Amino acid sequence: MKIHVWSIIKYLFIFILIFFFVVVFKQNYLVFLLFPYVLLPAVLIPVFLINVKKISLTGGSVVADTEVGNNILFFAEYDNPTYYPFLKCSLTFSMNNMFFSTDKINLLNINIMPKKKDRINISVKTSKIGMVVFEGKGMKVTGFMGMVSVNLPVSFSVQVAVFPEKKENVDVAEIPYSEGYDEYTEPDLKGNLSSDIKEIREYRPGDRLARIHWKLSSKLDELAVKEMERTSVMSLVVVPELEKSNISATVDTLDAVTHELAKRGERFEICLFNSVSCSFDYYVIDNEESLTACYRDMYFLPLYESADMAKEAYYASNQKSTLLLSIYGDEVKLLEDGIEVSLN
Amino acid sequence: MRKRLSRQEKKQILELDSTGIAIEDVYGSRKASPLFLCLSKAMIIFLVCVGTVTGFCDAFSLNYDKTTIVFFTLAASVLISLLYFHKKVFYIGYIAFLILFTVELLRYYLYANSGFQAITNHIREEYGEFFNMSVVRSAEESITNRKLTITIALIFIIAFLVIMYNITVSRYMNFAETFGISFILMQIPLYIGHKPPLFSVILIMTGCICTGLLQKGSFNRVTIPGKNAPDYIKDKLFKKTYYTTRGDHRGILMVLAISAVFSFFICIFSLPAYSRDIGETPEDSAKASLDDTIKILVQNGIYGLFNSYDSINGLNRGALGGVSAVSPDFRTDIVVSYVPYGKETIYLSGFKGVSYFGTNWNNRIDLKDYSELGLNINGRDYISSQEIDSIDHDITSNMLKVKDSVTGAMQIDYVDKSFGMDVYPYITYPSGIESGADPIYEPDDPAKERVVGTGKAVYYPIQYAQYLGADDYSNTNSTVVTLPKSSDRISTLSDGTYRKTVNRLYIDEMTDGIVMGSTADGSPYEKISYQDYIYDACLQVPDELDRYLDTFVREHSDFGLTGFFNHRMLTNELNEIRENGIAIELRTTEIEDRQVVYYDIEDAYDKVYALKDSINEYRLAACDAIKEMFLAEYPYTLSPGKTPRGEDYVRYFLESQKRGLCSHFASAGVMILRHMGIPARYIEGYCVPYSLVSEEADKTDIDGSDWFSGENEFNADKTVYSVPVSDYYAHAWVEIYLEGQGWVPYELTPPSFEAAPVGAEMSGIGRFFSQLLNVDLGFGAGDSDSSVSIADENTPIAIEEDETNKDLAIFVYPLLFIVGAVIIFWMLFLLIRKAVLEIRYSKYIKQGNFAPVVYARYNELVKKLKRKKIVTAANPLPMEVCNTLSAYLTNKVLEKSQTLNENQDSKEMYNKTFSENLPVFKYIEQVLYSDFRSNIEEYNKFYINLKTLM
Repeated sequence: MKIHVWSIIKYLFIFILIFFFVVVFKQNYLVFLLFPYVLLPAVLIPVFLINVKKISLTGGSVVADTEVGNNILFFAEYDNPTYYPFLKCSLTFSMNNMFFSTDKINLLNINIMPKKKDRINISVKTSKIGMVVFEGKGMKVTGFMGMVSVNLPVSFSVQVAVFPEKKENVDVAEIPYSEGYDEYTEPDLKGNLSSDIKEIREYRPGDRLARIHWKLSSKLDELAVKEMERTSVMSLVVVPELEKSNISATVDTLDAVTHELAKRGERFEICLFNSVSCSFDYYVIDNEESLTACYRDMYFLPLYESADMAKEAYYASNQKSTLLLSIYGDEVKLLEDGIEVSLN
Repeated sequence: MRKRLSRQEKKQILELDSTGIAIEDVYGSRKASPLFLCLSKAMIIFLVCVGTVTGFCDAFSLNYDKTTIVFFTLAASVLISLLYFHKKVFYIGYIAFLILFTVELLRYYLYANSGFQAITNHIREEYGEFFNMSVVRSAEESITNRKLTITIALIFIIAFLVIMYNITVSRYMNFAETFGISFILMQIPLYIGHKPPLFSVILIMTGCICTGLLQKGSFNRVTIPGKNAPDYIKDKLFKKTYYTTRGDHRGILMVLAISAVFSFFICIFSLPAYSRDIGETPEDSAKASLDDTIKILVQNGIYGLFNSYDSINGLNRGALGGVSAVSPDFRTDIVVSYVPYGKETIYLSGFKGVSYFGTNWNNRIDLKDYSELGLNINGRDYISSQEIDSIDHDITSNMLKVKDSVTGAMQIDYVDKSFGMDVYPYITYPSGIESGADPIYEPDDPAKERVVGTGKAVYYPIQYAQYLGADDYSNTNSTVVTLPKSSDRISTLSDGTYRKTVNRLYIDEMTDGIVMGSTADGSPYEKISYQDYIYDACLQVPDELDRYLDTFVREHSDFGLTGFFNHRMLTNELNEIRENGIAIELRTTEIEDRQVVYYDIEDAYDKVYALKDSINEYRLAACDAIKEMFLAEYPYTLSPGKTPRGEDYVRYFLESQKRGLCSHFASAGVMILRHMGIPARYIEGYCVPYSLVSEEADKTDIDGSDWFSGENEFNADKTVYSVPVSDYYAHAWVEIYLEGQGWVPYELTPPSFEAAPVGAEMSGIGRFFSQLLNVDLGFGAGDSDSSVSIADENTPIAIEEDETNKDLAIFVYPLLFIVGAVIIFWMLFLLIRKAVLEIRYSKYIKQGNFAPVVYARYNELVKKLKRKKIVTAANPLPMEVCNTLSAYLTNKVLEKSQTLNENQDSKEMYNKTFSENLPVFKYIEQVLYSDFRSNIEEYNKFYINLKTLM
């Protein structure tokens, strides 16, 4: 609880003024004005302090993710089970895209009515991809005439990923088909799969016959496919350069490339470079969920200034795969052992 | 054409560009209605404003039309609060309001002005009554129907007040400012103990508490919303972005209800405090100084505040009219030490006003008219007051040979260093002060040395004279005037000398004695210039005032003021004698058988002194008449108010002010006396009543016999008393000139009927707590000494007014009023909402957008069914409602027709009802849940069916 001395002084000033009139100017009937003056804070502040602990506030969002350009509807939902109205509640929150986060603080002044559970909706417009985080950082509830205030430990974080806009007929003809290494034809040194089964999953059209777990399939009455644990990088690694100024374009291109590659049935991995920890994370993209998961993780990565940091770090760290698809902005480069291969 | 972007849009684009996101809108689950928000604030404004205005008017018992005022306040509050409805409405509305205000004010200027003047006159009269002061600055009321004019004036005052309250409530929701406006206005009656009705106080309190509760709440942050203003208004301050709700009328009404209940209960518990009378107010320096300022304001307006000078209780060295009220500080100015010789008041004369100039008295005389006074003036063109004192002394001390006179000494000690005037013990005159004669006690005499104060101490040898009343003066010739012995006269005559030339008697100016002389020789005295001073300088009245006094004296003939014109003739006769002597006749008589021829001087003496007696009688009778008139028509007050600039002090007092303090009575008295031909002067100084000696004086251990000789009333106790004289005893009085006696004081100031101010009583705080402790809480209303008292079987039962019921009524009425107001407001709210919604729906229907209208109608039906507990689900689907309703209706019909047992019947009936209701719900389902596009006919059909259902 915080006591606001200045508010109390202002309040006392009026009290003293009335008292002055009572005492000096003998307006003894003004004593009755002093009663509410003493009574109001004496009654309302304890009631406020008792009830304020019972209110709660959480945050949320209507959607989990959206496409860039769409609005996200966040909401702050309060619940006041008491009969006391809290007429000055100030929720401190931040609303940031993780790629372009600022230290901007927003305050939402709410009137919390008694016996009510209500929502305040915050409609956020998006223009860039990234993870939009609506984070509650505390709520200050001020009591009668601002004399006391209580900081409630409101803490929530709501994340909504903003994905690139789905593009139809993306022209990625320049990207060559890889020869289609699989776990059998793949050379030992490159893109090996181990014999360990990662998971058993249901058959999806396009799965190779060799992957079908026939024994299990016969038992289950439906086709089951073995997903093998990889021992090394895949043959084709897509490395997006998370450079700050071109991140939107890069992600757009990445999205187009991944969809095109998926459409061609190409097996590939996205390699995300964390410029702070200098580490790489690999994401095998074989469906939309895996791509979404990849994006979600990517949205939390720090951006950097250089246009080829990920690519250079990749080769410098002696990664196994030699075939690398580097994406920066609208540019897509195919590199083999660090040497650019002409896409034409 | 490219759309021009607003500033807000540009900002959003920039924000989107830099951060990728921008908060577009913040809104609640229920759209805030600016209309009802404004109306709910109007409610607060109305309560405070109506409470303040009716409280103010009722406290002063002003005659006005309360109903009109209440309705106008309501209308004005609603209108003015609606200015915050919309940005454009705000600007245009304010301008329109001000134009309307000005135009109407010009139209009803005469009424409004008269009403306003009526209010101010009434207030000033009330203040005048309270402070017991004359209020003469009456504003002119051109229209005399006060009820009408006051009501109209109040309407304009309310229009102004609601603007003020609109700012403090609608814009800022500031408790202090709202309370301040009401409190300041309420202070006008409260200051003089006029309490507003409790009903008004409850209204004010409700509004103020409500404002206080809403202050610091988000309700206070209401800017002027635009047409599509967001529910939460965005504001940037110190790198922080605030999204603040515009508020909700439901919240405001709820808080208003809480405030009403709160103030109601407060008033119940604090009623005893409110019901207490103002009682006696002990003197307090802060209050006294504010009282002074208020008195000046009431009497002289703001101008009066800038036309004032310091005054010691009216002791202003002849300056007149610049003091609104005297407020003695009760601090000792001088200490006089002497042996009291009787119970009469001793006057200490300080300033002698001779020449009157309308706004002041001057103690100097223009030399050109009085060049023969024989003074060494060293080239000056005036004669100073000291020189006049000296002449006074020389002449009058020779005259004053009072029988049984006593002598004594008085020591005057000037305690207050700021006191800049020498005063002299009155009746007799200081001797030797100017001439350097020795004081009667040597200051270095250790036995008699006393240090009374820090100021200078002067010892005056004085000769006391018995204070003479009117009866005494009329017979003083035998005591005052020294007659030549008859033997001298005889011897003069019997020496055989017979001079034919000796045929007149002359009056000696210096001794008032008489000598014989001849016509041929003329007066044996070189000049009679002091008589010039008396009969010229001390009879001067400004011409204009003289003319006024002529009328005034005639108007007051009831008091006998006109009966003194013979006095002039007598005075002229005496002055003629003074100048030319009186003829004496040669008579013969037989002495020792011989014929003796003698001058009949006794006859001449008798003639002269009879003449003087007659003159003195007239003069004293004139003073008595004036005193009687003052006593009857001119009350004494310590707060007479100032004389407006350009007004003659005396004329203003006599004609308009009609109340005054000593300087008014003394100045006016002198002028009236002079107008009658009676020489008179205006004197300022101190009076030392015997009560001061008996109550305040310190008995000293000085041997009083050294200070006093002769007989006094307290002969056995010739003790020197040291008497502190405060400024409360400063005074102004009249001196008249009595023939043969000189200047004698006359008290024309009527006694004061005001409660004497008390210097050192209980302090304010002490009194406050004592009052609190003595508060009668009034809980014994039903006890033995309460309402009904049966004195005797034979006497009728005396039923007093039941105070308890009265108290209850005080609370019930405001509560009913507030409840009524809230109910009316709520009904109005519902009606307006209904109207607004219907307008909106018709707009949708015109546009062909039936979905929101159908949804609203469906909701209405569901609400109604929920209220009747037919439907219990939170959000029922149309078909569910159709089923439930059909079942309900079927049961109802069956209950009535008593055919419940027939299952088949009930099933059929249900199916029938269901099929009847189905089109309505089918339509709802289609409109709300499919792409079905309805037309107006279908909607109308649906609406009619729905109405039948509802």
